[in-house]
Amino acid sequence: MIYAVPSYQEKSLATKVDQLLNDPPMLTDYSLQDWDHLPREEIDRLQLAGLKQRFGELRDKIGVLKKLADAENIDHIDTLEDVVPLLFEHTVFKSYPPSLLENNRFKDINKWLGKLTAHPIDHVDVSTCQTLDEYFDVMDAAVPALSVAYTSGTSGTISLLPQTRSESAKSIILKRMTLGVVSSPTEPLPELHVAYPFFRSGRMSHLRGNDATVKHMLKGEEYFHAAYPMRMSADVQYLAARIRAATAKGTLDRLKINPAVLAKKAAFDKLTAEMPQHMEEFFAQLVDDLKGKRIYVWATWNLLHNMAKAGLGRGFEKVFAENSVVGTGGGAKGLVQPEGWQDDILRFTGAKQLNELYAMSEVISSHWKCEHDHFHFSHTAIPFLLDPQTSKPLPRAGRVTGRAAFFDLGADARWGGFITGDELTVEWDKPCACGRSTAYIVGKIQRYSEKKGGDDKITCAATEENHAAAMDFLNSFEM
Amino acid sequence: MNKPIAPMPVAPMVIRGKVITDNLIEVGGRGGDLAFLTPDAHKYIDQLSLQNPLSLAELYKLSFDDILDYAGELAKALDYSTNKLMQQACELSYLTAPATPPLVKATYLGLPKMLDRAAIIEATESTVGIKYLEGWVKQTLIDGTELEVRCFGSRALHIVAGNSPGLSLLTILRNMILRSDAIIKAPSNDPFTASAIAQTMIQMAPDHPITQHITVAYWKGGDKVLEEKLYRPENFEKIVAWGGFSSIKHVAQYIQPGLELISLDPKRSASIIGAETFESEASTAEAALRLATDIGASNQTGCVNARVVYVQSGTDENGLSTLNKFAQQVYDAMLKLPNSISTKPKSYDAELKSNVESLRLDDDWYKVIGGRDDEGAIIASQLPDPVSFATLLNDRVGNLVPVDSVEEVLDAVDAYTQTVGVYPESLKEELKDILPLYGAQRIVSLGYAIALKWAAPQDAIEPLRRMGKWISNQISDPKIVPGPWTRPPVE
Repeated sequence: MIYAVPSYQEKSLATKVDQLLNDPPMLTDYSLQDWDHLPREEIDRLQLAGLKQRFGELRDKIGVLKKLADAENIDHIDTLEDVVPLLFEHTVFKSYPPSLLENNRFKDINKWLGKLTAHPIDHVDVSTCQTLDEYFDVMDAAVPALSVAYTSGTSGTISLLPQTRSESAKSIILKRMTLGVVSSPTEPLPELHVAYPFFRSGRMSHLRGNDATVKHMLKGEEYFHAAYPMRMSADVQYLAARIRAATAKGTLDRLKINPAVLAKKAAFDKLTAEMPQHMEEFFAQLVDDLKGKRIYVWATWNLLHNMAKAGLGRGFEKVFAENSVVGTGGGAKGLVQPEGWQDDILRFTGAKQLNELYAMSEVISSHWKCEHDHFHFSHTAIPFLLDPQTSKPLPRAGRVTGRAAFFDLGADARWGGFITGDELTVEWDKPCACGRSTAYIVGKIQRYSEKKGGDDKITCAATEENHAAAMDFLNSFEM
Repeated sequence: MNKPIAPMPVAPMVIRGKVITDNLIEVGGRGGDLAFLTPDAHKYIDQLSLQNPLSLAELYKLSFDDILDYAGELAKALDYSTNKLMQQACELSYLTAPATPPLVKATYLGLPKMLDRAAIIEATESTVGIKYLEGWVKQTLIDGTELEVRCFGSRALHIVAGNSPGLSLLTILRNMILRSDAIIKAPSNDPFTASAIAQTMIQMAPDHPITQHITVAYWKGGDKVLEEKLYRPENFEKIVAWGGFSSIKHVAQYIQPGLELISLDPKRSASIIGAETFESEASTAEAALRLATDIGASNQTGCVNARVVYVQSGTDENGLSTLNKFAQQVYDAMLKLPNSISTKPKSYDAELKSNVESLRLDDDWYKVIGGRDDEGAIIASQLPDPVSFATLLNDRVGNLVPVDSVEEVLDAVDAYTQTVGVYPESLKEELKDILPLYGAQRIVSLGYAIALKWAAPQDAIEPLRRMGKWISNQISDPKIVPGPWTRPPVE
């Protein structure tokens, strides 16, 4: 193996592990070529060392982890598989009683959340908060390192993730290297415009990273073009989810709603109703303002395709600079993708390729799709496949299908071990034709919950699917 | 040389007295499910529905007594110890049913009892009225019109639920009582039972009109090509669809004038434990056993099973201590239930397990009793709220919710509630006029949720009456009832 940067060989293991955990691009001194071709044994070695370090740092600092490790009698990690009994189920982040949030019992919420983060939060006085937005304001101000994010659920609850600000920063810094935006940490940031078809800010996990994007990828705030330049209200989103769930159950009359939030919701409903129209105008404006410029746009395939169709219809082609970054995520959203949708987007934008990644709010690592349609695992997260029934680890060799789990090495104050609800098939050994050295995902990524619903098994007992109301715009946006 | 392939089980199709095992295709087999062979329904689509309604006339030559005799003979023929078809179907059902082998077998052994003569008479009398099936029932209206009403059978498609083999026999029984023609679309979680019963009928009385009006087939629910051709008013008049959100959604798109949907909706059930329960150790223990039965019976695969339980234990420290002790008793009782009623579940839903295990890590708000061995668990909420994943509760996992007042127990009931088990009986008397307003459809003494009585209404409707066609005959003598033509003109 020849490294473009010879100094790699001279670094101590401790330095390399520290870089992988805290400043990933520095591991290969911003050489994407070297990053993509680190030998597998080397990746495994660094990841195991990184895992040991995180476990050592966090075992007794995160209450829930300590409880689990005590129960499993685990005091040290020798192999990657040793961490499997300590991986958190995705349900951990919504295991608080729903009524605590419904009744603004934020002190109790913090009592629960405090067991999921190494940052002390007992001292923060959230007892007077009357809304979720207020709660996030108080938390952000009192513990600036922490950046509690939420993800919305269809069942009327939200997950609360005790992420840190440094995690978002690391993720963006790695992303800017991967996308070829910069090739050294000292290089001035290029002229790049972000076109973002949603809110500028908010505490939803998708939105939490936007500040870091501005700081680490752009020349300034004026380069970030959001369709809605304001902050998304967490209360409104949470209320919308609760109303949906209560409507489905026929218990809307029993819902206790804060009148202040209800007023905000009316405004928000109007906004969502006008969203398709607004989005069209937003993209049309972008074409005018950013013609010929290098842009970075990331959205669901149908939003991008609608933009492209509208533009092409007006005779626009190759509108932006060819080194623009265009990406989609979030799958097909249950829609039939028309033939040639990708070509439409490329023809309209002028970008050379469509980027795609597999990522989730709980594991802040981006697994990019290569030119051979394989998602390659990032070095910053250790992938596992588990038996979907027993949660026991499946072999990390050959081609294996199972429930995906990760250990997110970037998680510095929460526990990075996380079991997803996704079924993946992973090719562990056979090298991909693209030349990247990591294991990769082949074929379809499927949620286990969706898989079950497809069967023709009929029982008279109502199941969760009865309550999964039709996806509204917010959910269709989630990537 | 090819490796020898283990023979794959066959679910024969039955079309009105004929057993069909040709044109086999492989179905099922997804996600570790049993793959089996069954005739390709596309090939028989023109034969599935009854093309000549006049052939139903044969059924009207039978008296109700004849039907009861047939049922009695069928009961004998279904005797498990001698019926090879049923033995085979039972063993194959072990592989497809959501419940475990002892529970499936117990149901198979109990099938003949469903055909008990007196029970059929009682149920028919209370859910239709035998005289309406036997002939025209006359009355004279106040204007002198002689009105005759009779309940005729119909041509119906039955989309049966597969969580209990008894549902297939119930469908066949209802069909014979109503002198109807049934096409039973078997579910993939029970593709063998209805077919085996229909084959037994053919062996027993091949030319009997009752035998001649049962069709059983399997196709994948949602098969658009097949269903668009079949689900039409010219093929049948009613569709009786049991549970399964997607199955009812599929069916609903074909409903049009002339085709009626009788929807036995997917439901859930709850229980309510009143404060008096805890006045003595004996009543606490009794309630625990009865509640364990409502949660654990048939391994909680049915709509009748309790999932969330409101317990009027109080929510202060003493109240929670009472609740937690009671939860342990319920768990212990559930594990001791006889294996004809409840066993360790066949599987433990991974999503549910993930939720339960997450609660175990934070015991401030919930106490999780059991569940480590996938045997079932009781979750005692430590605040007056059910778990956020209440809609996932299954595989013998119940959630006890402490409350202070009787008013709060009404939270147990919503638009998806079917059965509510209440203890003690005095509390039930107090609640029975209120619970239905919130959605409850069936109220039972605690412990009897599984003891379905088909003499009672089902899912807040009377399916047997709905499955019939209620025909009237007006006899008007112009000398007594002035003809419409005699009405004076309007000025």
